[in-house]
Amino acid sequence: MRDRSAITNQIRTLRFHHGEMTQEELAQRAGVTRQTIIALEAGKYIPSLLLAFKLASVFGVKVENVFQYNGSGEAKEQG
Amino acid sequence: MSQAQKQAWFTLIVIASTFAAVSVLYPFLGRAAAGGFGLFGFLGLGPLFYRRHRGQLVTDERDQIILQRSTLLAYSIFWVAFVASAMLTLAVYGFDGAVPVPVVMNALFCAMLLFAGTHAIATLVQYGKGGVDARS
Repeated sequence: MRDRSAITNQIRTLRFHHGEMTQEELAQRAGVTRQTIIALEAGKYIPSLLLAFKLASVFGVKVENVFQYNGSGEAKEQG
Repeated sequence: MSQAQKQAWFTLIVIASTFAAVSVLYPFLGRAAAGGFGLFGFLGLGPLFYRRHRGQLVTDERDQIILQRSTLLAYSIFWVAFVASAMLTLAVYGFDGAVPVPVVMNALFCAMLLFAGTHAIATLVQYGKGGVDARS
């Protein structure tokens, strides 16, 4: 089972820094429902790679600025 | 509340109402009260929850994953019960026996009830827990 706490996100902060964008507006622009944005911000849902890129695209930042992996290092880059 | 949650609650309400109706009618109508199971037909209206209103998004990836898992669970439980009931019918009535119509009818209703009820409960539980994660 995936450890959800290993992945954090800055969606709430990014919304605030983008003119206090509402959850509804973000949901519409990312093509998901507001409930999914709520679940994401609460750390209850880990999105697909596609949705992660869409969210980053909405904020105009790289995906790693939206999502951070704080795991044990299994996914560390080589060399 | 998502459309899937609305449909799940609708399903549970229809199931509860059906049993309530049959229970209330039974003292007056006897076996004919089984006609109250016809209320299950309202479950066929469930897909109407997924109608689009002015281009509004009805479901997204999270909803679809939750619904997919609910369907898998409901199918598994239904299939086990279905095979068990088939074997039980054979054991009770034998190879050359005649199965009474009410037994067949109730078996079908129970199968539908089991599938729809399991699906609805599994859906609500998953939303309550925040939902499953995407498989990217």
